[in-house]
Amino acid sequence: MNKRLSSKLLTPLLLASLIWGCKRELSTNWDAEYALPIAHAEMDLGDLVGDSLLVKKGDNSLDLVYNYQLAVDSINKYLEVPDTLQNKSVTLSKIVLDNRTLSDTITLGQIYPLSKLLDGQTQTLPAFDQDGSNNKQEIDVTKQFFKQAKFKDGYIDMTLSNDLPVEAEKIVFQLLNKGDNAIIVYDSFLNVLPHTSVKTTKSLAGKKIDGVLIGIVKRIKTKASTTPVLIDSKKGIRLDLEIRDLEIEYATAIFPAQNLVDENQEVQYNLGGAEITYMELNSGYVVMEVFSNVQEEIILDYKIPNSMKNFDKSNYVRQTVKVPPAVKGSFSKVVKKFPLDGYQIFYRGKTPDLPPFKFNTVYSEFTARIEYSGVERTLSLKDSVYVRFGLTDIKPKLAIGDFGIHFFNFDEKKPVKFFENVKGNISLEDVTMNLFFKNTFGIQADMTIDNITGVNTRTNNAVKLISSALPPTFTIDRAKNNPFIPYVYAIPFNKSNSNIKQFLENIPDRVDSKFSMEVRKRGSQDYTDFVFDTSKLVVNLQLQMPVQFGSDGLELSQLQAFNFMSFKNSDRIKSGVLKLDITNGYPFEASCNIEFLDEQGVLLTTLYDAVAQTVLPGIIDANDMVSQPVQSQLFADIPASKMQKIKLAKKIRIKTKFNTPGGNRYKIYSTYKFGVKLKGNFVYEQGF
Amino acid sequence: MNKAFKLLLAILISLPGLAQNSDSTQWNKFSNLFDNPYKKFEAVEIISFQSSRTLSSNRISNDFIYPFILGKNLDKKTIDRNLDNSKNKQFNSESDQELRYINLKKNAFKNKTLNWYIKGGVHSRTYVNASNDAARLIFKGNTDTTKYQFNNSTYSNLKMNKFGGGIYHHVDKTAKPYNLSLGLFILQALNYGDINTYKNNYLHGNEDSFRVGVNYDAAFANANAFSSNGLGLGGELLFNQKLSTDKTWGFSLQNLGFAHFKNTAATYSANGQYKFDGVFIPEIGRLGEPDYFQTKLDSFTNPLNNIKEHQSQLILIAPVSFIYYTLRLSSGYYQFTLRHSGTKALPVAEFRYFKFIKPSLLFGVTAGAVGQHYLNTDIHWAINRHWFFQAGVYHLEALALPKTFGGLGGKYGLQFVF
Repeated sequence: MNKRLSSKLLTPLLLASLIWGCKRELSTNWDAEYALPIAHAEMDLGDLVGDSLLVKKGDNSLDLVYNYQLAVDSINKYLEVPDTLQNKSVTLSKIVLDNRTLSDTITLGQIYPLSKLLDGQTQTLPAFDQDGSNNKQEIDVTKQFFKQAKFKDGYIDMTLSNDLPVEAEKIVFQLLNKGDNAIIVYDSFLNVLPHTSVKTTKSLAGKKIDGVLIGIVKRIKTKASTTPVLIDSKKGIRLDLEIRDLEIEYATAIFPAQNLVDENQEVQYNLGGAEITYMELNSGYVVMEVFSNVQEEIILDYKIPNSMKNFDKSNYVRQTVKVPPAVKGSFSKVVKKFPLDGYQIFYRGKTPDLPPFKFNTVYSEFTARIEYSGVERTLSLKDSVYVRFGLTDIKPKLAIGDFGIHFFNFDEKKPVKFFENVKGNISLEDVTMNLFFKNTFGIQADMTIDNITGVNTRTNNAVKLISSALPPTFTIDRAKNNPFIPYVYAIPFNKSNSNIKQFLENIPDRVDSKFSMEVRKRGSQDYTDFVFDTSKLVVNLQLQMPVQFGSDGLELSQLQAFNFMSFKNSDRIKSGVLKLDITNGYPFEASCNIEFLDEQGVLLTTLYDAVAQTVLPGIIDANDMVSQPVQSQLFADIPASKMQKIKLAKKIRIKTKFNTPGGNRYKIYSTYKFGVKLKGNFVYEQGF
Repeated sequence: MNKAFKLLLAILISLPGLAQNSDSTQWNKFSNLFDNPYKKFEAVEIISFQSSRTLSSNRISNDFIYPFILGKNLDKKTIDRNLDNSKNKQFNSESDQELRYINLKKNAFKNKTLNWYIKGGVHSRTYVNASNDAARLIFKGNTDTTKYQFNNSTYSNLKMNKFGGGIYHHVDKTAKPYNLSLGLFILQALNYGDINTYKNNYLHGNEDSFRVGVNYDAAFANANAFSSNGLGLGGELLFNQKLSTDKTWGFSLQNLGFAHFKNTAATYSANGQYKFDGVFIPEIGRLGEPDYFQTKLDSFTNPLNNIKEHQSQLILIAPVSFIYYTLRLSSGYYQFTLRHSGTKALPVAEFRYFKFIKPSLLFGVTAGAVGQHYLNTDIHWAINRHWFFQAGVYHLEALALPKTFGGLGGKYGLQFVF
């Protein structure tokens, strides 16, 4: 219902639709005829040639100014920054464990079980000489030390303290690895007085230790007490073990925080011949791809110390990636990209301010470390971390250095958009043209112009630009930086120093240009040449002429996108009559037609049939100015068959042909206007 | 005398000549007409279904209407003939389908005068009152420069489902027996539309420019059947009384209530005058922009709409009301009725003549005037003591004279008594 109400193509139908019913597929149709204004406009020459091309002068007359870009050079020709990624596969260089201690006691009760009966009594203690080979005591170090480890280096300090009330003449002690009975410590101690200690240190290098040790007091020989002593069966030989300075080959343990890999390096990039000392980045990435079979979380740090962000040296490129613990027998993978937008990087190695002078060289630091997690893991020196890291997609905003010698040849055939829609005959009163070279590179170049030729492809006529002002070779100096000032070189052409009038009256819709350029012929200036990402060497043709011309059939055409069916309910328009009222304030006669084209540009139909209708020129006074506009009306009958073709059109070409009375040259003023009003009668298929 | 009156007169004259028995005998065959005060109350159960649909128009003839019904093209000649009269064009449509069950065997609330019934159905009504200028603009276009006026035009549309029940109250042992039905329904409005134009609605201009005056408001809403939207409450009240052996009267108010649309209504309104002289094109390049032209048109037409979508709206549903008086003479029954459809259409004054042409066959003719004009006929047939059938044809005058009158429709119904 409401859709019907919102029907808006033909405005009167809106009110009508208030009264009528629901929108649906039309099953009952009838034809109604509507007379409607469609569009109105006030146009001037700017609508035909583009406002930006016209410059108003003091007397309101117009100059046509047209810029035509002949050639453009860009940063890509001077600097290639390839992606540079380094692969590094490293095994862990060193794994350490904390120093740890453990205390255990082999009691009198274990050595001399009868002492338990005398516990707490004060008696004379006899001498003992006991073989304790079978008296093995398990010492579980899984919690305090590790579950299993093989040592590359490290020590075990064993301290025996005699807590017995008598002197131990001899203590032979053995510490075994329970798993394979390998001897870790085997030592004897003599004459250990009561309440004193003795200490021995053994290397653990090459030894493998399980989490459970066996402590054996193989022999203990004590002297008899000379006086009664207090018997305490719980005291005996106290054993204090300390492991220290441990480096392991592998271990299952809770590991402390430690660095596993340290890599500091300078990498020299190949920048396609350019030798760069400094670069400001528009965009780019640090890429880090990490594969790890280390069963602990690895923290990777990547730094480029000689870099900064927004010129803040404390804010250098620095990224951290955490790689989760690998599952045993597998590996974990992390791929990260960090943007480098806005960073500045020095390409002069680790010490940019010290000799030797380096270029294209980035100094970076890379570390892999683990942090204390409190979780038991298994690590081995055979574990490895594969890292692929570096810089990718680098788009410099500014590069400084020496970009090397380059030779460029330009041989281009470029369409002239302004003239491509113009054909016919035109005679110009005056014209000037400038050839501009604008260099925004900080690099000097020598330019040689071989040829500039205007070609009218419609008539196959070519006119070569000939001028005494055109030197064979000239130098285009480099732009300056801080502050930035581009270098501009201009060559003026006019009627007296060139054939520019003939060149333009040919109405060239294509300009063929051929010239060559040698860049940095005389070397760079101490690596201070520079290139911005916006740097260009632009060659422009700038045409300026008063809009004063005579014409005998000058034709302008404009191609526009068009979709009649995009108008709501336009499918219901069956036929119509279009009327175009034109009030012509220009001193030329115009005939106008509209071509309707399909997607491929094939002509479907024209608005007016074979004979185009004419718009009469404005009335011209004695000063060759239009004193009074003249109104004309153009009719276009659009029967149903033509309407069907218009509905299929995807493009329209508006063609306007001008003739000046008598072929005279008339000056065009900014006050001249076309008044255009489009209206029509349409047969509209109503329905319900 | 025009042809319609001749037709009516011919039918009325011929009917009294048919057989006519005593009143009580006649109505004994029609125990299904449970609300008929001419018969004694009988404790039966009745299931009935009836359907009716009517299209009526004023100053729009059937040859104009038929293409809409048959899906054919409307030709210019028919349009011209229908629009040569400068008076407003009216169009009215009503449709009803109802299924009802009434149990006269069981008392309600232990009261012997009360029984109950349930009923479900669909009711729709549409009314259009358009100025001739509006009709001309729609059907012919703006082919001349006169001022097209659209003042005081109306469009209303409603379609609703209902289901509910009520109490049937009957008092028989009295000199003036009567019955009363009072029903309450859950209803769902499925479609709702309402447009009203006031003063200063016009279109005036030509191909160079035109001026539009708008002063209207409109609302539209829809709900999916059996959804929770458009729900409301409705009711009905029907009363019939036998004043004497020869006279009865009654009235009814049906299909009244309210419904609520939640966030599905769209409202439109505008009050102002606008001039349109074509889309202004500031520069020729703009024509190639997608939707430029359409956007400019929209900027003109949007003030004519002022659309607000996703609105909630409570609608009140006016009753279809009916009041009659029936007189029995030896020649038959003569009934005088006033009926209003619940829209802004004028009420209809109706005269109906009916009589028994057989003990099991009741035949009637109805003529309507004022709001609508029509000539209808109907029959009621008691097939046996259980089955009853009724049918009618509306707008005989327009069927017979389609280029003069507009309207058509009919009804049928079936009842089973057990």
